[in-house]
Amino acid sequence: MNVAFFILAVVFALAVAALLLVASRSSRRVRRRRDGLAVLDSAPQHLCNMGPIRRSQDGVDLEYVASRGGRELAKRLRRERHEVALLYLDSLRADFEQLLRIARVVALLSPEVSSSHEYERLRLALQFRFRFQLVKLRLLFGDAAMPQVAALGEMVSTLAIRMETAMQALGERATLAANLALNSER
Amino acid sequence: MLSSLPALDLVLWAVTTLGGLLLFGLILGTQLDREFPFLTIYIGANLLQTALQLFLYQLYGFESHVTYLAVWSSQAVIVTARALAACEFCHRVLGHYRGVWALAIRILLACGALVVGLTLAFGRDGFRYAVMTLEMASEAFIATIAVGTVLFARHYHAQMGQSALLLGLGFGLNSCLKILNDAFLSRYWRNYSGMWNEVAMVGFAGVLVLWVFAMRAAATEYVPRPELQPAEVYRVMAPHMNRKLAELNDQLVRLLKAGRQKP
Repeated sequence: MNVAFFILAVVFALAVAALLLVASRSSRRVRRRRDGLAVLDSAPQHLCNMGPIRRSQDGVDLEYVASRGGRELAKRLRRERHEVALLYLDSLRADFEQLLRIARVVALLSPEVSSSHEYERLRLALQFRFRFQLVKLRLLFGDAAMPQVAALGEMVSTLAIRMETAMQALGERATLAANLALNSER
Repeated sequence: MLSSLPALDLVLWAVTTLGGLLLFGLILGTQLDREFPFLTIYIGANLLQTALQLFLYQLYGFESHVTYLAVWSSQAVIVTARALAACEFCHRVLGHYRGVWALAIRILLACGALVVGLTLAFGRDGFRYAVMTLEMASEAFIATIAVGTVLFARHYHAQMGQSALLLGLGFGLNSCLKILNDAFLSRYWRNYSGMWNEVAMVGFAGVLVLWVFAMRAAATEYVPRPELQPAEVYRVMAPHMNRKLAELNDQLVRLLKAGRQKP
C-alpha cells in the first residue's frame, strides 16, 4: 500500500469517527435544550426592541451630551452605546438562527423537499454567518454605521413576520406534527 | 487445529460470539426483528460465518487456499449485509420525513459511491491487497452513510432516539476501526499481522455492547410518526426564505462596504 493512500485512509477514518462522535453528542444536547413546540412559539423576540435601539444610536444625542456634559461623559455614552449595538447584533443573530430552525422544521415536515432550495439555504446561511462575523468585527472596532445595522434588523424582522404568518397558516396540524417531530423522549 | 491459536484470540473469539448470540437472542426475544430485519440478518449471518470458519479451520487449516477463498467470500456477504443494515438505520432515522428522506438517501448514496470509487482508485496497488482495498471501500461506504445520517438528523433537528443514536455510532465506529485496522495491516504487514485480528475482535466486541444497549432502548422506546404538512407550504416558503436570505446577505455586504468607505 502506498504512503499517500495509507495517510488518506487513516485521516478519513479518524475524521469520520470524530465527526460522528461530535454530531451525536451535539444532537443529544440540541434535543435536551429544545422543547419541541418552543421552536415555533419562540419566534424572534428581540426585533421589537429595534426602535428604541435605533433611537439610542442617534448621533445628535451624542453631540448634545458632549456640549452639555463634557467629553468624558460623551466618551462613556459612546462606549455604552457601542456595547448596546453589539448586544443588539447578537440578538439579531439569535433571531435569525431561530428563523432558520423554523425553516428546517417546515422542510422536515414537508412531503417534498427540493435539493436546490435546501442547498441554496445552506449556502446562504453559511454566507450570512461569515459576513455577520465580519460586521461584528467592524462594529467591535467602532467602524460600522448604525443605521445600516438597523436596516439589517428590519430585514430580519420582515422575514420573521412572513415566517410567522406562514406558520399560523399551517395551523394546529403542523404544530402537532412539529411537536411530534421535536419532542423526543419526554 | 484451533488449539494452535493464541489463547487471547480464542478468548476474544468466544467473547464476540457470545456477544453476537446475546444480541441475536435479544432481538428475537423482544420481536425487534420486524423493526430491524436487515440488522437481524446481519447478526445472524455473522454467527453463521463464525460457525463456517470453525468448520473450515478444523477441516482445511488456516493456510489452505479453500479456507482463504471461503472466508473472504463470506466476508463479502457480511459486509453487504452490514451495508444494508446501515441503510436500514438511515431509514429508521429519516424515513418518517418523506421529503427529507428522498433528498438524504440520494445524497448519502452518491457520497457513499464517491467514497467507494475514490478508495478503489487510490487503493490500486496490485492484487496483493485487493481484498483489503475492497473491504476498506465497503467500510468507507458504511461510515459515510452512518455519519451522513447523523449529520442530516442534526441539521433538520429530526428526532433521533437513543436506540438509533447507539446503532449509528456502532456502524460508524466499527467501519472506521476496520478501515484503520486494514490500512495498518496493508502498510505494516510484518509488524501488525499478529495484532490485526485481536484489534478487530476487541472493536467488534465494543460495537456489540453498543448495539445491545441500542436494542434494549428500542424495545421500550416510543417512536411517534409525525404528520406531514401539505407540500404547498414548503413550496411557498422555501424560495421566499432563500430570497430573503440573499437580500440579507446583500445588506451585509453593503454594510461592510459602507464601513470601509468611512473616513
